[in-house]
Amino acid sequence: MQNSQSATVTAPSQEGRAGGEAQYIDLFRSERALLDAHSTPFFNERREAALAAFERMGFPSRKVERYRYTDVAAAFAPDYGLNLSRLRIPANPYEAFRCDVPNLSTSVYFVVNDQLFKEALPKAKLPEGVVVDSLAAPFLEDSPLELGRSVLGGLSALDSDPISALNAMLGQEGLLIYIPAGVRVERPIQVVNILRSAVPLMVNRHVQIIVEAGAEVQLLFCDHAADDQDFLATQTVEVRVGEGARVELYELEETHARCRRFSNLTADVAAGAHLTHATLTLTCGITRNQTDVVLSGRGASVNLYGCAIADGEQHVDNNTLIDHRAPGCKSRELYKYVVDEQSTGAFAGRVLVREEAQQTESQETNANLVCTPEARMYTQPMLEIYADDVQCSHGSTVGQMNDDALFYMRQRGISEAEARLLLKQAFASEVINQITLTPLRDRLHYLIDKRFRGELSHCTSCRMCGKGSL
Amino acid sequence: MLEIKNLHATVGGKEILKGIDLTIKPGEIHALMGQNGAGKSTLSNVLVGHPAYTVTEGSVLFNGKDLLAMSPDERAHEGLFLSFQQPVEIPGVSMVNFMRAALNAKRKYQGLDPLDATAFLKLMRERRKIVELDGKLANRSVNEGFSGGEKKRNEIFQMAMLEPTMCILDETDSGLDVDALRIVAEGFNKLRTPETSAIVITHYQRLLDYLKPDFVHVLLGGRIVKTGGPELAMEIEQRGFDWIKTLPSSSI
Amino acid sequence: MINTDDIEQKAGEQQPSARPDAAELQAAGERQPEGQNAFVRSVVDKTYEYGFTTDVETEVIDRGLTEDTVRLISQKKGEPDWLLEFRLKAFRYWLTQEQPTWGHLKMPEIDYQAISYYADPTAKKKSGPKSLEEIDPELMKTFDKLGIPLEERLALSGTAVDAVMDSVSVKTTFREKLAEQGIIFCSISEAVREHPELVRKYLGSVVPYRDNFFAALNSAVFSDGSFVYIPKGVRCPMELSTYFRINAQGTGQFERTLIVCDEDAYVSYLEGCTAPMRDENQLHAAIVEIVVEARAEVKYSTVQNWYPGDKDGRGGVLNLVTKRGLLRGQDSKLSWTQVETGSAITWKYPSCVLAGEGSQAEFYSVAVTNNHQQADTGTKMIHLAPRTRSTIISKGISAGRSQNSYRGLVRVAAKAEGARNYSSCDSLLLSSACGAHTFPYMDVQNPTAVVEHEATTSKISEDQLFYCQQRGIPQEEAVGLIVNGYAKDVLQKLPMEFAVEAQKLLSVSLEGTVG
Repeated sequence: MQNSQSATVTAPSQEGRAGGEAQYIDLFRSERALLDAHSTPFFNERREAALAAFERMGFPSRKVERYRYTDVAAAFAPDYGLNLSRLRIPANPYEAFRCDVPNLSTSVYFVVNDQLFKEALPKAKLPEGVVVDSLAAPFLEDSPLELGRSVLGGLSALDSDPISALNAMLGQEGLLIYIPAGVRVERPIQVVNILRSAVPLMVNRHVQIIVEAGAEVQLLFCDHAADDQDFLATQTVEVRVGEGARVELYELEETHARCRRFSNLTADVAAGAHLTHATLTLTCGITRNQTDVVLSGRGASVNLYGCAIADGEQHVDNNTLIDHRAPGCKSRELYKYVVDEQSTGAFAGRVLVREEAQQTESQETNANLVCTPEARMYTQPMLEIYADDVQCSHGSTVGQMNDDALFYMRQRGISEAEARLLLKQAFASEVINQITLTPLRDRLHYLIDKRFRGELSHCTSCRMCGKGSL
Repeated sequence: MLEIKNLHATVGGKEILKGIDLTIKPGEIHALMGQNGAGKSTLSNVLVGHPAYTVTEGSVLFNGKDLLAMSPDERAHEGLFLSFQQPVEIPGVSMVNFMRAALNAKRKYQGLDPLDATAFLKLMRERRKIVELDGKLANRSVNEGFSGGEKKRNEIFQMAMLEPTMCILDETDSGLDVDALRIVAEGFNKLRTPETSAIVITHYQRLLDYLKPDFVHVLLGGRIVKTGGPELAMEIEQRGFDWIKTLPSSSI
Repeated sequence: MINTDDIEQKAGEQQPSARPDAAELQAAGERQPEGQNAFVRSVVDKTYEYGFTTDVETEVIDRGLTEDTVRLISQKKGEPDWLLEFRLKAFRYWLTQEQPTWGHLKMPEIDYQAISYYADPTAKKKSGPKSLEEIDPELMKTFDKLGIPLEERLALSGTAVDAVMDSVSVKTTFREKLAEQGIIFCSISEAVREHPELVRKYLGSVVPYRDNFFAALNSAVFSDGSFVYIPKGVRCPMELSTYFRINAQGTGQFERTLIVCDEDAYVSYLEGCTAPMRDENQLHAAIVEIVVEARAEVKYSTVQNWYPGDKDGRGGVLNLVTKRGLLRGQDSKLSWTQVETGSAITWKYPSCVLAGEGSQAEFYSVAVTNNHQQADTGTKMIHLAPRTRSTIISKGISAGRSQNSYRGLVRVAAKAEGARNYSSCDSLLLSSACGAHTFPYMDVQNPTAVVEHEATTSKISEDQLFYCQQRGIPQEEAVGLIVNGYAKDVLQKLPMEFAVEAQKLLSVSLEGTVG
């Protein structure tokens, strides 16, 4: 976004700052007409409910169990502008940007701030019926899509989660990924989210992923910040995995210290279906990812993976809930953190097994390396079980590198620094090796190696901010 | 090449080595025997610089340099190699990455360029054959999921890669069946050059049959109490250690 | 510990409705006990064997809680001004607080004004109990029945007892013998009179009245409890034990225990508790404070068998307890062992603050819940100093419609170099309507610390049950056997007599759980 446009970027009101919520509510009230005029019907229909929910809940204090590790009010307190009138970005990100996963043959879409960049759509054609488009598309008169309103937005947590409520209150465009029944999408779909602005900016992204029965798709979301600016990104992602369908969703974040990311993902996995979701945080400022998965049909399964590498003042908080509502479901969870320097890591993973969810198998692991006395790691694995025929376990560890392994390597002539590096990589690789998208996996090994060597302290993927390596 | 003089060392505040004197010349093989707790493993750990052990007195010269002043990796670069009694498992670190890091660190120390990937992999393949190490094992994480015998073979394989001049085999024969013992021992013999020296820590004659030591030392209470030729090992095999304990101190 | 035959009979006489009849059992689809074996029958028939009441003239103050109530309690106990001040401060703080709701518990509304805060069964003898002759024979009988003889010659070998009924300590045995070694073992009321300097120094030093809602309440109205002081270098020659009994109706029990173990000293302390069967909930909000000085060691064992309520969840004790030990000195040791089978609601987290370098803490727990019982229990290990070590072994067993939660915190402060914690929390499920939950919190701020947590939840093994049955062991007994095996790691930490008692309790608590 250019400086000349900053006048039209609407800043939240300065009044009523006492409660951090007030600036957002005031902005909403005063700019409602502008918001509505530049938004898809999907958002306009939900705004009132979202406002009411947000007014009721406000920002969660750290006494709210799920938010105890992240100070939300502080992250939302600064003045961010919002691009309510949907000014377009002039630069073509496709030319300026090269994603960090180069050898991966994907269908790439760019979302600049929260707008789908339609000027640069992938050349390869998607299979028949597959839609990757702005959420406005299904609301157009001539839309071939027949998606009921209950399907779109039906998984939203806007009633129960303040961030989801705020996102729905201020959201404007949204992205739809639709895979019809039985369609197997060979080429992974990649969505590159780029934050661009010359002034502090808040963006509110929303993604609907609907994968019908028996369909299969691999999705890769990459988050980048192209300007050295204060960004606040809220994101809500809803994933419906139909009966027997299979979805892999990878989220890779490479932003910088001035970015705040609050992402809430809600997923519903139907009978016999499978969801793999991985959250990979390489560089960021403050990141909080909340991942809620409901296993609603018999024999559904989910794998949740996470890998966070934090240093400096980084803050990474992953909060997950796996809700076993049907019999014979399986869940597996593996999160690993390396927290260095003054960074903070938090992991809270709750597995809920309801009375009807007999024959549940659930396994949760969280392992962490704390590298300095200033770094801090909170971990909180929770099992809540109301069925009796279950096999559930969780394990979590916080520790340091294995001294025996370190010494063994040094006896073979490897320097201490190199040995530590190898061990950190090995630690993280357990998560990376779960990724079935081979080029992504290889690339992540490479990126993580660079990250640990200190060569990736910020995004390297573009030449927009002048810091990239291209 | 290795000169140990009056070496005293403690672990956890307890003195284990109480004055070891031992000189090893190039090409010599020295067997170190003694009951559990005599200080055999402590000696090998002290020589390679394990941080848990503290040297309180004495000196060790290796090729004329002060060994005790070097870091463990420097000692390795100088040509010192310990075949661990219980090699540690390092999940997630592949053998290939591990060996490449080790070999190239040594080459850098010697002022050589790192080996490129092709040359390195070729070397891995060659050396693997010496100890009949399965290619699959070489692709796994270091020692992870290896059987006891596979771990020991892996130690000798690494020796083959790093070409040390001074090897310490710490109970390399423990946990090996007859065939595995032969493979490991013959592997070692194939790797030997006329300049390679070794300290072989063992309880049994079996390994010494293959390695043919020049000297046999008996360690007791942190000191070398008896030194002899290969016949001493035979005698211990037959009579155990107790007779040595009862020898009058003047004859020790 | 208890002459079972005797007590079963006596207890049986007084609890006619406790025995489920055959038709009921069949209707519930349960195997009807038909074995002629007396042990099996007693196991199956027993519900709560300590549910009788004692008919003794008890002075109970009016229900309700105001500042005047606090003053009245203090006056009745003839307390010094500083203690009254302490109580009043706590009371005023309590007024500003709300009952916590974070536990995984459905807590009935507690009407704090409907409870009487002081009940004295010894009031008839004005000057307080001095010798056995002065104790009401009814009280003696009660404790006999509970297996706690107050006559020293009848006592179990090597155990001294402080017997507390409702708000007052009835008798402390072996005081003189212990005093020979400088050990102080008495009720806290006496300690206030006789050793005010010690009580004043340590009271509230581990659990300040501001700690939590129930701690504030207890600090305001606490009645009696035990005081233990082990002087430097003394190894306490016998097990010290406090037996708590709630008897009077409509009263709460607010006991307070303070244990100070001076440098190089050692003590093993046991706590037991029972209450009569009443339809209403009884409130028990206790505080236990332990101070462990350099190189000293304290073992604290609890077998908690408060009345758990009936099969439909009516009545039972609300056990809301704050227990904490401060490992103040270098290389000090504290071990908590608890077997929790009773109470309608258990809310309790015996904790350790590891402030002395190299100090070591342990927490071993078995929590059994059946019928409508709810337990939210666990521990906190706060590592403040270098080289501190803690171990947590928790075994939860859930049956019936009960809810059983482990909740624990392990915190490693930045200064706690080389701190180690190992936690293992297992849950065993015996029915499909119960719940087992694990909420461990870990907060680590030191790079040299190693903190490990493992948890598993599984159903009782059908294979094991069948194997036992094939060998002719009835199902009820098989469950008892398996559960005892499962809890063995914890039970073997208990002193001998307690362990036997606890094993029996486990089987009894799980009566009728499989079918």
